[in-house]
Amino acid sequence: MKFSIIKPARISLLAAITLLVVLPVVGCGDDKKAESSKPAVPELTDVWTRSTAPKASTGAIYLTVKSATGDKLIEASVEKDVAGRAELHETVSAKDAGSSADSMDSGEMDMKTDSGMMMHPASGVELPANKSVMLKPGGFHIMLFDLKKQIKAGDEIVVTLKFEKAGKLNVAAVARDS
Amino acid sequence: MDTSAAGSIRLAVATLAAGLALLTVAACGGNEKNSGAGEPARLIGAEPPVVKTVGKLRMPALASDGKVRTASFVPPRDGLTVVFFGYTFCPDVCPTSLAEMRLAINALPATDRSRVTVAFVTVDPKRDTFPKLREYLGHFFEHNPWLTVRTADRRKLIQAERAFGASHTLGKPNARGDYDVSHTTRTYAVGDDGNVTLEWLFGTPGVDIAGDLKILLDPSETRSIRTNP
Ligand SMILES: [Cu+2]
Repeated sequence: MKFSIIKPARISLLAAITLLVVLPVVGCGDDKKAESSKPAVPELTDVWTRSTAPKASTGAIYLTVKSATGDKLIEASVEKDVAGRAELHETVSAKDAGSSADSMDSGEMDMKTDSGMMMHPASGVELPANKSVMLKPGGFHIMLFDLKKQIKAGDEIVVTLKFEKAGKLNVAAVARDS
Repeated sequence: MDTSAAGSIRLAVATLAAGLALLTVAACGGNEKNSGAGEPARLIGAEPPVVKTVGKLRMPALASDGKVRTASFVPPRDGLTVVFFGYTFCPDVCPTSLAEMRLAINALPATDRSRVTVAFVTVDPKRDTFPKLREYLGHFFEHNPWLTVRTADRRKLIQAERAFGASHTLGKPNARGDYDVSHTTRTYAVGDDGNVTLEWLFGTPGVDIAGDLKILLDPSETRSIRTNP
């Protein structure tokens, strides 16, 4: 952090405010200098996947992630015996996505028509420092393609997450019905 | 076990339950269900913005009895059909909505479950064959009737979508042959008069849908819509 444009007299006040704000969040974590310290290992909670139909070819993994120092989730992968490949995806409103649709029925969109949602690959998920970010239904998800077997409630799938700063991390996603 | 202790525990539980009930009422702004006259029960879903008559539609469908026939979206008398548009390749939105509906239907008394028919209309008939759809629906709905609509006639599909106010688009296939699909994500409830009576937005929790289903299935209920006027 640089205070170069702030007058020295202001620094102590600013520092005091920063401390007050940061302390309750960080708790007993050690004093960090944002630029020189190592990136924190992202904290992962509620890593789950939905059970699938017997021969379903796709699935999705969801999770909640928080990085104390800020990071970006850039990639996800699973073992080849689980799925052919995994991709970071985002489900968005179809209106915002401006999809390359065939035009047969796109001429009559109006208030009464719900144009719905679609998904597209995401280049990554930004993780602002100390903010919990949820990959959840209808938003970001890790999409599994070419599933090799049915996912049943209680199953665990190991997913490898790659973060821009913290590197790779393995975590188990537990399957549930809803 | 000491009976007075058991009694006081019961009292504590009752007090807690009463407290929770009060809290729930406070949080939802008087969302309690009054039987008979007085305040009408409140619905979480929204009434359609215009009258949507879907009773005349006839679509090729595979039902949970394993038979393929021409079916309509009209439920048996005093029943409901809940209608989804989607595709089985969909990993996120469709399974989420179907799982919430499963939760809602399974929360109903056993005798009411059979009064709800789930209809899933595929917007991707090229990839969704009847055997695939059958496995998909059978996975989600074991305790209530379902039917899955599939037509290769695109005009027929669009005609059905228009009646509901739904739509879909298929993107151009990539090198792998995969293509993007966008589709309406709301769920429609159709009454035995062949009209859409209620619509739920994507993300409506199963417990809320369950509450609405109970109201819709109860003929003694006078209803009022909370969300859409
Ligand atoms: Cu996806």
